[in-house]
Amino acid sequence: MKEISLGKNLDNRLELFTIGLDNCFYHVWQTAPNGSWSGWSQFGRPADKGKKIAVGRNKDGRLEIFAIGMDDGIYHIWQTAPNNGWSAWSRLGTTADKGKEIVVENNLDGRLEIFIIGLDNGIYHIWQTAPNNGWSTWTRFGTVANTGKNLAIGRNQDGCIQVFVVGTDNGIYRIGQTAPSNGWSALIRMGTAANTGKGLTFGRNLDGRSEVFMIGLDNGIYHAWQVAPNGLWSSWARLGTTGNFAKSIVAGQNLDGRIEVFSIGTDDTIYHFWQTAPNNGWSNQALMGTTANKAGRIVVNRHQNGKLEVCTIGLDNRIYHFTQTAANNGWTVENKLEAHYVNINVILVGNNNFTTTEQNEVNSAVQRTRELYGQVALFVDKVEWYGISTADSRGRENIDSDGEAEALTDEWTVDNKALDVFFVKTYTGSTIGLSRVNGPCDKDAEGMDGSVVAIEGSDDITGLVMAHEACHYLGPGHSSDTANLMYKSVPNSGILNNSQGNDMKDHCFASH
Amino acid sequence: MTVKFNYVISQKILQEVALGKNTSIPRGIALKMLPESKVPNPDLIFKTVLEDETDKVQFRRMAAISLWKINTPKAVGYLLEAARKIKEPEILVAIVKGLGRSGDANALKAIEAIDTRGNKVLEEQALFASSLISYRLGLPSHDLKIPREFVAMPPADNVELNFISPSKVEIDLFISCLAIEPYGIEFSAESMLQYKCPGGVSMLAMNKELSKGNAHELLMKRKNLLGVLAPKNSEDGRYSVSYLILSSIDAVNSKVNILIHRITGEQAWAGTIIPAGGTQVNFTLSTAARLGIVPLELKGTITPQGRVTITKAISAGKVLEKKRPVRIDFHSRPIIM
Repeated sequence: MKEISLGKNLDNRLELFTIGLDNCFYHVWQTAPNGSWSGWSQFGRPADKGKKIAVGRNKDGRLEIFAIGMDDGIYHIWQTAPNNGWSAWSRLGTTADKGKEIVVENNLDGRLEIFIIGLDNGIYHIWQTAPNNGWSTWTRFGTVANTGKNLAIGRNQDGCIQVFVVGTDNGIYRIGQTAPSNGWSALIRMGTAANTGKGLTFGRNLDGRSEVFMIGLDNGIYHAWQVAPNGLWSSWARLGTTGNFAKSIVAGQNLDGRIEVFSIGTDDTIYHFWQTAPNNGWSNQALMGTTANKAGRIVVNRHQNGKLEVCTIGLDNRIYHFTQTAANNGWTVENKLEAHYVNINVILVGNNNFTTTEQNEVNSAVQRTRELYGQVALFVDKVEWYGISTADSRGRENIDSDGEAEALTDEWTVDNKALDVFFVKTYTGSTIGLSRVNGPCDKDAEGMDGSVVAIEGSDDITGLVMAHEACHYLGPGHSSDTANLMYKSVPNSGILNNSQGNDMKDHCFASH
Repeated sequence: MTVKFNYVISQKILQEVALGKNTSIPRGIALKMLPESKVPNPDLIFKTVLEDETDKVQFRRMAAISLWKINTPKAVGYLLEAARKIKEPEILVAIVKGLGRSGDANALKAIEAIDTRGNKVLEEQALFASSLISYRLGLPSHDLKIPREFVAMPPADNVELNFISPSKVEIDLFISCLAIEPYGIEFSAESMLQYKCPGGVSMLAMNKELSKGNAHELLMKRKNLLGVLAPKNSEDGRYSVSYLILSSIDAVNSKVNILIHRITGEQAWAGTIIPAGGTQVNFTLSTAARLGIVPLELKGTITPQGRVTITKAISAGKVLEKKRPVRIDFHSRPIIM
């Protein structure tokens, strides 16, 4: 996974939304408030992909997800009923409306409002014209001189939305509603020209005062706060010591109202600071988990029972979480949010003769396989690339019969617990790829111990064939459904069903 | 996985794509579809592609192999012509493979005339193709080497192989599969044995020439392509030949050498056939010291009708060692869809 957002359903079940390595959307949810987590599901179709994701909740309790697509367009998808099913993705605005950062907040009247940094670095917003319903058009904040590169969002005690911006000059700016659910102030600098940063997060004190946390250009953590609810702001002060650095921060609020800030240090370790009393002083920086627990992304939300939940994307791209052992209290160790992964060795046979176009076709096939396996929440994790030179392959880059494909896998393997997929230049005959069904874990076993796929000059076909053949090795045989990935011929629609997914996850190459 | 059914295009367009004059579907796929389509004279289209010096090597070599698979006298004739004209080593490799697997004495002459210098794969494939024709036709030249080193069976964890007579359905399936993968011999249905090993099901099929009641005489008289070993792939249940069983005479020691090679030429197993008095000949097989081969120990007899009876068959169940690809630093840049 590479992006993450944590929402809460109307019935208080937390739901985690992510973007996978395949750029597809996935989600996992608590099966009951405060309870355990479901298995993963792909969100939308394999063709739906994005770069950034943010989750909001409509006034009626329906979650709504906003994303920046691979084309930088802004898209959304929403629950069709609170706690329940989902619409399809649709574009928010026109094809001209594009962004690179996105945040969402509710107006006091419940209407959702979205803020983005546009591709021109301008700051734009769009809002629901009525709670739970239609949308305005995108509007730019301020002038063309008002540009930004990062955003954070929150609401004052009186309900006015406050947008905090890291400007393109690294200065920190804010812009706020002049009245709840209404017009906007101009962009105002927070602090002096010396206060520069690169990341922001918002928190609110128990007494209603807003507080903003910033990662400075020196990677130090700074904060500024309202001196009174809805009022003026303090100057910036350092949080922690000059030895505390971060590259990502997020703020949560304990059940007793104490703000708690979670950070990923420049050493990728996870830390936290907490107010020692509501509205008041701060603890020293403390480690979350152990120094072995590393992360690249972090989010926080609160269970129904008041315990905070912190979810991270580990450096291995897997999702981990920490839960408070009691509301306002200590933390569990880091736990992995269970998912199934498979690793693949991509072996280019005659690699020195693969053109850039052919290499890209293979790379594209790997991505397609990721997307298609995402349908059944089997995540293609590590993909290692190997080559067999034409001198060593002794002609095996061209497969002229199935027996030759078997010979290739008989003679070569990578010594690890990943599935070997051999890409060859040609495979003559009506066959386009070959694999053993439910292949062995021991790749030295007699018989075909890998999958063979031919480069066909078509990203779509080669992707389907790779996904099909690797799927065979993981268990499933052919399907009679012409739309299914495991139908005996291509092209097909690449669909995998849950039964096939379960078979694949049961294979010894699929790890938790 | 095949590409047979799901592209709905006209014969005209399929032909145009195969010839590179239309890009409606990927060309490689059109070439795969061609033999089983209703496009008239696919062999002529393959000939055109094969001989077009301006065309891509990958398509030209696919055309060569397709002509081998079509295996009509005309198709083999086109391959022979191409062997004389074409100079590119990568395409010649495909041509000699095709000619070696199904060609005759003319094919042998054509292969011998090819200048293989400077290309190791071509040199090896031409030598093996020549040997294959020589064994099939019982010619005196191009003897294959007898393995110098053999691998002992591992001391434990070996698996006994169970040989059974296949059902008619399996025999028919095997014959239909081999029809598009010709090795220049016919197979005797009565001699076929199906065996199950940890890697799946395979078929042992013997040359019909041996079934005429004079198998022993034939073995002692000339070199032979005795038969094939063909695993049945678990994906689509089709047989495809992996190994060729060959025999040559060792006149000095009054015995017959039996050699089993991969279809691409590499040694796998070898042994001897020894007369055991009366009509009985016994054979034993051991494993050549070669990466990627499963150690086997096989003993049995061959009847005058060319039928094989297995008396001992054990397999190590796994190869002793495989070759390792080299890790490459390939970009994994995200694909923008």
